[in-house]
Amino acid sequence: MGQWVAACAAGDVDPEDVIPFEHDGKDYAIYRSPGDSYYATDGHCTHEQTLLCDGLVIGSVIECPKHNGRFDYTSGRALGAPVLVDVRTYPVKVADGTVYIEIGLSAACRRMIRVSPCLGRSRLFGGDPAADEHRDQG
Amino acid sequence: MSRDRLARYSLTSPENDAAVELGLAGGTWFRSAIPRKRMKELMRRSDYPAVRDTAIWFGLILGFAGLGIAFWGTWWAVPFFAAYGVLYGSTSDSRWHESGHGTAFKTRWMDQGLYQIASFMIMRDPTTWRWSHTRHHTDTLIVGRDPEIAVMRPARLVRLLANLVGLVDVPLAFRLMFLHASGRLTAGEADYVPESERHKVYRTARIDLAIYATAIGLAIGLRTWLPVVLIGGPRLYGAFLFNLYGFTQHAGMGENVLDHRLNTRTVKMCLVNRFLYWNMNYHVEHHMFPMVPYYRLPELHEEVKHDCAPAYPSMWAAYKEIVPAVLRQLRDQEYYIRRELRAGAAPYNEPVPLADGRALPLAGPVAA
Repeated sequence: MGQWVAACAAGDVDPEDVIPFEHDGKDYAIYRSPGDSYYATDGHCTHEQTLLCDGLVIGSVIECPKHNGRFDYTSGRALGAPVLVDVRTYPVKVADGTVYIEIGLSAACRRMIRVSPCLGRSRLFGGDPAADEHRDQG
Repeated sequence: MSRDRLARYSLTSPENDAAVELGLAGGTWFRSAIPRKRMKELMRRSDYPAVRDTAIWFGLILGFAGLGIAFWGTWWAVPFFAAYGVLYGSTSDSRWHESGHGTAFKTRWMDQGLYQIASFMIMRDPTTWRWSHTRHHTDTLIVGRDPEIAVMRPARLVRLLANLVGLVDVPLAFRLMFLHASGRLTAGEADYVPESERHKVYRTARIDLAIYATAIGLAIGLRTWLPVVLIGGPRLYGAFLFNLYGFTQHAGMGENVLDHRLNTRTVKMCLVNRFLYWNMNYHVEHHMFPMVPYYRLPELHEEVKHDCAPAYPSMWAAYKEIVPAVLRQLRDQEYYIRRELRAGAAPYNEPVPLADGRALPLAGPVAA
């Protein structure tokens, strides 16, 4: 399992917005959806390494500020040119008003955990059913 | 010597690798500090302005085409086709540009639809040009990296003048259409178009060629120029204006720099020109923050102008600087226009001596 790291206070991120988080020299992006769920991805666009935290959040989509590369930040899915490679996502939980992200857990591991009946999805990803449904379809 | 220098602009020249090694490719560009909250406001999109402007635009195009057809065979058709030609062959450039960035509309399919239509009108393959423009924004005026440098050093003056009526672009566009339709790319295109995107290029070329073949076939069959005056022809007889607008963007400015204030111009334009050009006259602002939609660029200009040199008050003022500079660069290719920033502006971003605008050779001699 990875390591849970405190990324920010829940109130640090506006609804439908993103902020940067740096840990051990690596950049992450922390998102708050319009439905007040929290998500985390790698900090850089997979196209040309631009920081996603300067981009625009529209619903469940983050647009890269340089070339308008678009990702579904709830699943990491790249939504078309110029981004062709998904961005890595990280499990997120909110406890006592603090947003934690689980670092070191690969996306593959995360998918295995998500389908495990032993773990509640909402504990790992927050409680946005619509986003969960979208993520599962992706 | 000139041919040797022009060879450096090729994406397959050693300058490309040298720019990567020196950190000029994919570099960190200067951006004015704007509070995140304000930046979000400026990036936020609405469908209304672009729907309104596009409806007016298509209305004008169809209206002038209708009047031109109605008066076909008389001299009265000339002014209507002149207006139609400029709208089709020039202003499609700015529509192509904005919808290509995906910033014109809030609704995605509207951007994509306008992008396909405008790409056809301006005779640019939508896929290769999307990637080419992506590179232009990553490596703006980096020699050997940017595929969209229109005015090189030395400028290819005959080519630039001929292109005022599309005499280079249009034959080149058809040559590329035939190449793409046969399932191939140029070496330069292969440098920036990913493998997974190439099938779109080939498919579009085949569709476009079929449309042009139909127009030419109709012209021959009906014994009238009208079909080609309406389709494809405007890219020749209406192309001058987008070139005149486009030269103001970067001509004569610094190359191999990492600061858009050194290689890009903002030019004040009247309301009509700003409608036709979709505010791309705010070009420093656009390059600094490409996600801001065209209708918010005047506001962005107010936010960043303290960091920039004063905007040119008119196209005339810009050309008074561009023409002598381009002519001087015919004999002195290290010359570039370096403008004085306003007092209190953030200093130019020149992280390495080679990023000062002169565009000294990065690699060894290039074969002509």
